[in-house]
This record gives sequence, C-alpha cells and structure tokens, in this order.
Amino acid sequence: MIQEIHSFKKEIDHIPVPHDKLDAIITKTVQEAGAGQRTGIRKKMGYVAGAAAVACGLLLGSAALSPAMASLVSKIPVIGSVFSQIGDSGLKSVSEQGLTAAVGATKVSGGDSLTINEVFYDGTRLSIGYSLETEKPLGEEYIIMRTDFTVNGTEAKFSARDKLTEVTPTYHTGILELDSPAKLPDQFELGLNLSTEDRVKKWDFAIPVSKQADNKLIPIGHKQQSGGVELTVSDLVVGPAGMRLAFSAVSEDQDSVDYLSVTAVDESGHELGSLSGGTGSKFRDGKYYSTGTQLFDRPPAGTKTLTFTPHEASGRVKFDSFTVTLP
Amino acid sequence: MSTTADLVPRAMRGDPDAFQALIHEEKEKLYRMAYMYMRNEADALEVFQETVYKAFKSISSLQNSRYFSTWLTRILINTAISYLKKNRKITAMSPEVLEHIGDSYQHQPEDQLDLLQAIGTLEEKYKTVLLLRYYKDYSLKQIAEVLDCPEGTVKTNIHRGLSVLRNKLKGAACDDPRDSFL
Repeated sequence: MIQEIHSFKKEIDHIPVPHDKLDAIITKTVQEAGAGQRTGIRKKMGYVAGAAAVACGLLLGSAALSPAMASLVSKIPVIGSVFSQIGDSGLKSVSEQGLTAAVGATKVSGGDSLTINEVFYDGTRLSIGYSLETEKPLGEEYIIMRTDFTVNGTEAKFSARDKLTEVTPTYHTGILELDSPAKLPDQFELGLNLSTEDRVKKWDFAIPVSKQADNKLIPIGHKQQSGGVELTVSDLVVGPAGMRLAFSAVSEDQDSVDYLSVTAVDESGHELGSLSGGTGSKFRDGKYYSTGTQLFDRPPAGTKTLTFTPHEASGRVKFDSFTVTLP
Repeated sequence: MSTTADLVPRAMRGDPDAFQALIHEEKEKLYRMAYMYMRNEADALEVFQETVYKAFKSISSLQNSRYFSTWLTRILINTAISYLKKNRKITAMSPEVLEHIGDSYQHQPEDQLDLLQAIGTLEEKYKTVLLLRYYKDYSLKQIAEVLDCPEGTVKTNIHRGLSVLRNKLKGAACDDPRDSFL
C-alpha cells in the first residue's frame, strides 16, 4: 500500500494531456471573456452577446425610473427574449415560432431577484430561460448554482446544465437545460429550487409545463460489436429545437460503456453541435449494461441523411459509422 | 521572465496575458485533476474550460495573491463535483436506472482495480483529500483552506480515504501508511 501511494503522483502524471486542446481553450476563453469585459458585456463560452446587449440597454434605461417601476420595467425586455437571443439556434427557432411558454415569475432572496422568463418542452428538450438581478456583482457563492426539482410534487432527478451569460456585473441571463425529459408527461408542474452554492439564497418556483410541439420518432435499430462492446442505437427523436439519439451498450468493461458519445454529420459534411448527453450503467451477470442519450442541434432544413459515429472516450474501442435517412 | 508572484497581481488587475501565463503554468495538473474526477477527456476538458472561465471572471476578487494556486484548485474541484452531481442525476428519473449506479459501484471487480481506478471510485470527499495530499502535495492546512473545513476533518477524511482505498486494493500489503503520510 505504501508503495502504491508513493506511485500515486507518478501514475497520475502518466494521464495523457491534450495540450493543443487545453491551449485552445485557454486562448478562446480568455479572448471571449476579455472581449466582453472591455465592452461591459462578458459572456460565457458558446454563447453570443446579442441578448446581453439588448437587455443591458433596456435595463440601464430603466434605472432613472422609481425603484418599483425600474424593477417592473427591467423584467419586460427579458420575458420571452432569452431563448431568442442566447445563441442556441434550436431555442431561437422555437422562440420565433411562438412555441415557447412565457412565465415571468420573479422571486427575491437576500435582495437578489431571479425571474423565470420562458420554458420550452417538446419531449426532446426541456429548457428554462431565466434572468438574475443581484444587488452586488456575482461573488463566489454564485460560481455554482444548486438545483433541485420536483415533477407534480414528487422529487425528480435531472442532469441540469446551467449556462449563465453576463449582461452587466449585476445582471445575468441564463438557460437551464434538463436532460432525459423523455419519460415526462405531456403536461406537468415542474418544481424548481435554485440556490447559491452556500444555500444562503434560495428561489422556489412552480412552473406549469406543457408540450409545446410535436416531435418525430425515427426508429434506427442499428447494432454493431467492437472491442468487446455490443452497441445498439435504438432511435432518433427530432423536435423543433434539436434531436435526441438513444443508444445502449453492453460490455464486461465498465469504462467502455460509461463514456460513450456520438458525432453527427449531415450529407454536406457539416457536423451538428452536441448540446448535452449522458449515460448510466448497471452491472448484471458479469457485464455492464449502459443506456444513454445525446442531444444535438436540429439538422439544417432539407437534410436527407445523417451519418453517426459512436466514440468511446479512451479511444481503445473503435466503432463504425452508420447513416440514417431522414423522412 | 515573470514569476507567479509577479503575474498574479497583474492578472488581478485585468491583464489577460498574465492570466493566461498563470493558467499555462497550472494547466497540466488542472487537467489531470479534472480527469481523475471525470474519467474521460471530453468531460475533463469541459471542467477545465469552466474552471478557466470562472477563474478569469473572478480573479479580481482573489483575497491574497499568494493563494492563487489553491484558489484555482478549489474552483476546479467545485466545478468537477458539481458536474458529477448534476450528471449523476440524469438516470434517476427512472428507478431502475437509479439502481444501476448503486449496482455498478457495489459490483465493481475490486480485485482487478489498479490504483487510479480505485481512487476514481472513491467518494468525492475522500478522492479530493487524497488528490490534494498526494498529488498536489498540499499540507493539511492548505487542504483545509481549499476545502474550507477544519484540519481535523481533513485528517479524518485522509485516514478514511486510505482505509477505503486499502480495502479496494485487495491483495496489496496491509501496512498502515497513515502516520507516514500525515
């Protein structure tokens, strides 16, 4: 044991480091965040600053009004506008088509107000747009926002991705993207508790959610075996704000089925952006059984075929690509 | 050539070149720490990116420039643990999938684990203190500062973490390393 602990550092230092990717991330993150800082509109990677600029101008314009009026006016420009401005093409599209539901509910905790602006749900995506107005610039307690959920009053577990965009140091807009909405009913009440990392500030919401659009189920049933992994890609669900691929895998090696991901390329060679995804595995009779989903951007209009290539994180297992014809 | 002591105050004043130089100094250890939590490159890169973004955004609020490295490490750990917690919730909508996670840990073939795999399966609180102690070479006091908890808690978690690790590594020598490392 002592010997093994001594080799701890050595073994970790053997983990290969993708230097090129790290360097690119450092440069891009600093450039983008820095550019935002110079104009007073910082933004997070992967989002455009358009919404920030619009909301910022209107918010600053409201500052000369009475506090009550300023508070009221400050909500107006962001209700229903987060999705259309945040830089997610799928959400922008459904927002423009009027397929999202405006909420406009505000709660205040410790002087900081959080407004749920807009919700979109279609069975492939469950996305919540919100804005956060704070008395002081965001401190460390906001670096990580905690989330807890209920569905019709019963505790529910989701993988929630939170993307926050700075408009001003005291005003932010964000998107909460909840994975795995497939098993949810067409209509339900989503209980959402957001809190700061230290749980000092908390905001509770009960958000009525109803399916806003239909989606299309495309059965795939693709199977292949590689490196001891049996992979099945069952279906693709295409909605107006994205598409979700469902797959499962079986192997005696847990890592080979726990960290699967898929890339999607259309017939013109354009790779679709991947919005989120995840897998979970179960051990049974000497093998690990995993199920997973991956959410992609919606393919461009007129796309006829999509070629999917599964990947295993370590690169030890190589999978073949396969093509799906869209109806 | 600028030293860390020179670069941190410059980065705190908003110098992006100084900030980048600091991150380049730390990037390998940051990425490997992230990898130990996430266990795959894609998620480790995402955690790394989040860490760089959060650090850039909040470095002006760093209380003491001497603590840059520990402060950065704290952001990475919080980001990784938050990411793991959120992603673990993905399967819990269906009870049978929630069951998966428990099973997969219970049935881990422990006798086949190597050291890194074994550490990867530890509870986060044990994994974190062991990484900080034996990979980052932090003192108990530094770990307590990073995790914002009493030194006694750190010591307890290192003891328990080593004990759990020892049980996972079946067949390894049963020497008690605790006093040697604390």
